[in-house]
Amino acid sequence: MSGSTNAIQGQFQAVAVAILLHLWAGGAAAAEQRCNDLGINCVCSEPLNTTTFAGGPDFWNPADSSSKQCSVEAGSPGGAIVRTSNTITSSADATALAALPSGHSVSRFVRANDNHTGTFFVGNGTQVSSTFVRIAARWYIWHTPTFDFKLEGSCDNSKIAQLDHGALVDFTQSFHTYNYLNFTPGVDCCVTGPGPNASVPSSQMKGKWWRFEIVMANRSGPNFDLKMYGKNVTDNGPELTLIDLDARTSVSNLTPPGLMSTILANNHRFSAAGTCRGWIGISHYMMAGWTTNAGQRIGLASEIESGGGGSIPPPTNLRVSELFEELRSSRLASVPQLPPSLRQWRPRPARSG
Amino acid sequence: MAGLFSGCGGGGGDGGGQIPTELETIACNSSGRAPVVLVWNGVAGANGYRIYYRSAPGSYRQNLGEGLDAGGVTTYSVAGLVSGTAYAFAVTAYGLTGESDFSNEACQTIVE
Repeated sequence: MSGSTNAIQGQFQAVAVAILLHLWAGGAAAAEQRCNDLGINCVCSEPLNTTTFAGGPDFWNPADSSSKQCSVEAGSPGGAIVRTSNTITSSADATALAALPSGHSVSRFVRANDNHTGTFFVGNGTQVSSTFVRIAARWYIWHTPTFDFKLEGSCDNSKIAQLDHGALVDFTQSFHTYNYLNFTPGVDCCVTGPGPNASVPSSQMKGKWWRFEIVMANRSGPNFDLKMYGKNVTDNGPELTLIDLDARTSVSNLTPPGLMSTILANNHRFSAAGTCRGWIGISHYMMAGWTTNAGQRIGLASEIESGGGGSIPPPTNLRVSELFEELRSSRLASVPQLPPSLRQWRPRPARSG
Repeated sequence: MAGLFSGCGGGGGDGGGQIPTELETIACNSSGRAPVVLVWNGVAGANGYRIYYRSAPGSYRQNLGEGLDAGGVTTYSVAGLVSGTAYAFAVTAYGLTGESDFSNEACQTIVE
């Protein structure tokens, strides 16, 4: 009799737990489409399109997914957000939502309080399998029109991304990565970049949504490679290469002290004298990995940029024709006057035979 | 054909390496006289192509959907460019289902 009672109680408890889990996950959205498309190559996904954040006071688990959740630290599974000052909120700020590309399906995103300072991490900081020789993380970030970056207003510090072993990306009148002191050789690069498009005016980020993507390869070195791309999706600007460790020799041959896995949106700010104005919003963080290093990218979230991409692939191999310059300066040099309109000039096919 | 065409590290790919020396200019390692003749590889499903360009970091001068219309061909001569200025170009494809994302960028500094 006693055994039968225990069995019934056990079944009841199991059903109760299942119901609670179901209720907890009720209304939760799935991982974003890009994560589903990537399958096993998707490490984790946090659309952040939710009104509920479980946990606290330090680690917060957005109720936007129940599988492939990101974790800032392994000790807090699913804790994709660290905000020690307990000011995480789900936002439907009309100005921010209106600045997303037309056709988006975002209704909520995560933000901190106005004029926030202190720790504010979003993403994945747990170890990613070394079988993935190339990993990437992508997220969307909103800076309010009055946002203070470092050296603006009375704001002394503003970060962009956090990597392993102390390496960072921040924005101080330009994007730059630094603090590779624990690497071999140890360097504290760089004032700007390195990267071909590192010098972005802060005015082009305020009141805009940007898509950031960081890609890491040669994760244990030598020649650790880091690239960071950015695109102003509010204005559908071009994608910029903000950071490229290959672009400067002093950081192109680094060996990390261990496997590089962490790629966090680091939204830390600090002000000794007053406040850092404005606030940050985050949407659609995800991380992916590949077993080959062949230029793979996460790219856009269709939930956000579905209106911009369309179903037609972009043209490729755009280049300036130097053939035209050669023709103009040599064979056509004797032509007294070039045609007034060269619109739709097309090279003549080579004759055969 | 190697050497007949030039590009720039404007965005998207792993190329580049140029670091801007001024805040509001584009790093470009290719120069030539105007007009700039662009060529690209076409894509299936495209009814035509649009050209976008900029001379400073940030957005293109043309809003999406309002680029210079090249029609159905895969080359276009961009006139009206200012000497001494570096330009970054991109192209999109458009068709019945809308407009594509931007291609890779090509750049050219205009010389006399």
